[in-house]
Amino acid sequence: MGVEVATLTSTALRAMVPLTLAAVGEVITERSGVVNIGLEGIMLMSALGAAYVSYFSGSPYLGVLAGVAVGVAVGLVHGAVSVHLRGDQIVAGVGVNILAYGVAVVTLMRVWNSYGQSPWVPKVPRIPAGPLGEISWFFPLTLAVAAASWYYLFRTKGGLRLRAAGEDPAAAEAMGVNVFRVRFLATVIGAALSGLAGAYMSVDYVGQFTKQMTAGRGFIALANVVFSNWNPLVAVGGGLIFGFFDGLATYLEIVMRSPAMGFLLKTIPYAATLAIVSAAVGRVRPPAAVGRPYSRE
Amino acid sequence: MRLGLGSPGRYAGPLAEVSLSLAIGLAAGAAVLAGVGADPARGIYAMFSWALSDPSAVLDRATPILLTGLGFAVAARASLFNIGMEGQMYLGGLVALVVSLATREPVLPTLAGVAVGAGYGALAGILKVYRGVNEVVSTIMLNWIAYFLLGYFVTIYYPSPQRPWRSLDVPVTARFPRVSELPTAFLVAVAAALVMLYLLWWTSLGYDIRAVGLQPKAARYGGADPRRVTAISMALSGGVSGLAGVLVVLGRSFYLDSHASVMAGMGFDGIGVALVGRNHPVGIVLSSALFALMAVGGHGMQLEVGVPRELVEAVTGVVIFALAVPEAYRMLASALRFGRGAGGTSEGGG
Repeated sequence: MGVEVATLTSTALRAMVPLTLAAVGEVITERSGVVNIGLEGIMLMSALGAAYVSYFSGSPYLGVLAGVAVGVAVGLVHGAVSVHLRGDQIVAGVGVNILAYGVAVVTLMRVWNSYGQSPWVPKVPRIPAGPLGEISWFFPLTLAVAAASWYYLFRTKGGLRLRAAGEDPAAAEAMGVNVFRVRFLATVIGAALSGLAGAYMSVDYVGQFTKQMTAGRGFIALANVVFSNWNPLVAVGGGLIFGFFDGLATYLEIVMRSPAMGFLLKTIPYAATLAIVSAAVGRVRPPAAVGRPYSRE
Repeated sequence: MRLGLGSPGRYAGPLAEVSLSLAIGLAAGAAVLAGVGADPARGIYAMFSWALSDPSAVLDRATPILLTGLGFAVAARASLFNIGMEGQMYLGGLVALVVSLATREPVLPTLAGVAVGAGYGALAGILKVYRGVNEVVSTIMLNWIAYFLLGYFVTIYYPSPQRPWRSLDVPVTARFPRVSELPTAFLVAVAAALVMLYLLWWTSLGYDIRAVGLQPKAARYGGADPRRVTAISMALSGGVSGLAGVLVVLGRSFYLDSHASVMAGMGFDGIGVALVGRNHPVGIVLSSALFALMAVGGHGMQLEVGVPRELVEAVTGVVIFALAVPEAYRMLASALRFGRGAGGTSEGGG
């Protein structure tokens, strides 16, 4: 029993990392007034970029950097479209998600001549952690990123300006905030954290790239943003809850060894996400100007 | 004539935007082809000539994405972003298969598939109305749940004895026939587009849907209940998406497999189809044919220049992304009109 609790806990801790990192990034982006529903696509392309660089350079750390770089690149484009060109942010996000799937399969075929997955790639080494077996460096990193983001957003002047841009951009502009610049940077930083989450998926969590590896996690992270009430520290708790159900499904599948039940067990994280979000909404309040392009008159 | 079409002059702008986005997407695709050392002209030529040599395959491919395009559009008209066509389609197809095994005729399975799709769509609408759950999140979760439910039923309850990863075949008497080469399933999809056209522009429900989409507060003042409209338009969206699944199973594949590979992705394709068709049933019929042409022709491109046909997905993503920025086109147009001096208005213009 003790062993099972430990297994379940470490599975949940591993599953929470991408759900939390991507959610914290999106909290920063949305607090500034921009929505990016392309998290799923960013994670997929970053996982691919990280696996690619890790495979050919032999260094998983360079792979992580590549994953972040992919996130930054998408963030720059999404930021330019959302902020400067006042585009439809939701449509642009969907475009990224669809693009990502095409890019993933075309790259897999060209580079590894495989339709579904890459070969194994060098992984980031783990930290030994007693009864939990070993944990990933990404776990403390995720906690630190969430804490730093919370501190920045709610305890610094820069964070106040960022939130003002997302609540009332016209008033923020009157106070001397450069709304365009703040929103653009917040979009890039948010996308970079999704990129980090994607890199974790391939060069830490799994150790290879598969074309369906994100499996809706970008959208579960979006649910986590709502659940957290746009607060990075609460998003850690959300990541643990959503991660728990993700881990629970994997764990029960292994224990029950029934392919029939396997299909039903796989629905657990998604059904749980729906249930949790249904219960949480109503008690949360999004930033007032989120998703609405700002223009100076 | 109230066709929702308006005067010809109204089309110039949207048509230019759509054409430019398609051109950007194709240019990106050509750049990828060139980047991997293939001849872009040969690739694109192979794509179109392959597709045009097999028109009934194009119509088969257009059928489901026409319907999921309508599904996206009817929700979008009510200002809802339904990206759950994929899951609604899966359930529609699954239910049609199961019912057809019992009834051995096509009518009841079709109605059942549409009803279940509608119910699944309405579920997301109801969660939005009563719990405030954003439809983008709820529909993606429902997509995954539908995907695994389909795998469960196909492999556990209705597996083919010879090939257990796929289902039993639809009885021959329950299939949508072909009249010479023309698939009747495609005619059903076009009929659905006409019904949607009528519904959106000739009925008071359609008026309410469009009013809520344009200006919810004013619509409420005019007597429309935005909550009811949200639930109904999501149900309509789910219904036509369910029909997409029905027509794939009863009209083309005649079976399902545990990964839904006979229809995977065709729900998401509906987003691109609807956006390129400007969320209008007539535009959607045309754009579904274009997307089907690219999808079928992708095989030809793959054979001819050896680049995977998923490149078409990447092109679609770029087209959608490009469609998100009409402001860019307005800026481009004004820059062309006023010469280089207009460049400085990039942030304040429009």
